[in-house]
Amino acid sequence: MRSLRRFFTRVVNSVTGRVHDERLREEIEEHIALQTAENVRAGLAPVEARRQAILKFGAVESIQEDYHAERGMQFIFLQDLRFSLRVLRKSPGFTIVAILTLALGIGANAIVFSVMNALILRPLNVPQAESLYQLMRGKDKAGNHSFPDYLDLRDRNRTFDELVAYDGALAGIDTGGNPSSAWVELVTGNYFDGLRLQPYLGRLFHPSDEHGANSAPYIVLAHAYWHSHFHDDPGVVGRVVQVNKNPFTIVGVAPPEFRGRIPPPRLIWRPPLFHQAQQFDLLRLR
Amino acid sequence: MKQKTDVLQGTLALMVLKTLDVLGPLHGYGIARRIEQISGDLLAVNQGTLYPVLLKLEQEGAIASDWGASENNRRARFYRLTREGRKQLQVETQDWQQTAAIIGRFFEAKAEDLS
Repeated sequence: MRSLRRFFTRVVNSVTGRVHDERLREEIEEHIALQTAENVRAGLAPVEARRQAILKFGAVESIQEDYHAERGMQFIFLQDLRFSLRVLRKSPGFTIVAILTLALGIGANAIVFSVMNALILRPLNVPQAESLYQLMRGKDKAGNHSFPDYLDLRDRNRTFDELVAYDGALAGIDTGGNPSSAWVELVTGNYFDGLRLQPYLGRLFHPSDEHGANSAPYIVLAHAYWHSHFHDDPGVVGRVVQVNKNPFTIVGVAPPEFRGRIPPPRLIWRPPLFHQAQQFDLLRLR
Repeated sequence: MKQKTDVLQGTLALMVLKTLDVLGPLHGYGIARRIEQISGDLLAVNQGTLYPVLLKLEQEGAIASDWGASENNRRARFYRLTREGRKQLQVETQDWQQTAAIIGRFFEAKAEDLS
């Protein structure tokens, strides 16, 4: 218990760099002055009295060193550090392997964590995220729902306010002479209403925009995509871009804090092509 | 001239505790002088070595210190025993007496006692 207390005090002293040098210096001065006075009383001449007092006190340097060593731990840490560096330099093969192992281990963990963080830990950045639920099938069935299933569920739903479907796909986007690929999230018309999102620019689409198969040639841009590909151009609303070589009209930009459902960030939202046999996840809102 | 003995650090700490226990708060010089006097000048404390010991005891919580005025009216640091220090002194005194008793018996033992 005592040594533990001493250890903590020393660590605190080392970390905070608390200096007792001034205190020791003052104490030594006082000590020698008192001893000198005593020697003078014993009959010595003042100069000789002081000399004797200093002699009796001992080597100030070594005492200061002891005092420092007692006060903090910096010497111990430094010595350990120097020693380990020397040993590591002596066996570079081991050092490289150890460093690589650590780097790979830390890197892999960081990647796994960032994915888990985005997937599971980071809340979906929408209002009232706590009332969002994902609809899963029984554990022996496939994970996703077919679009006809979604329609059935939606039409017979009495439990939740809104039932939305979405799916992701990589698509070729041509914004004018410079085609590139981007993640497109295929979402039902009630997607933005269901998530209670407001547009950053222009408008978002609604269920009333749906008029059957292939009827909705419009898209909403993610804020990050708008920033990187259109340089924050507010005139982007109403422009026509090619998505997989079909023309789509940009109707608006989503708010910056909303980045879609799954990483990598979905960049564009558009209604699904209903005639395709897509698999859909379901997300519903109470 | 008498042969003067070096003081082991542990013993010095115990002497400091006992001195403060008997005499109450003292500055460093006072402690050094008392230890010299009580030990009959057999122990010439290489007086400076006292200060690292005082710091160690303070960091352990056995003593505490404050600035005060010395007899020649200068600023001096006064050390005093804490409750924890008093407990520590009791324990160490017992240990020491036990050790001393054992060593004493050891030296007094004669060959015929053991046969």
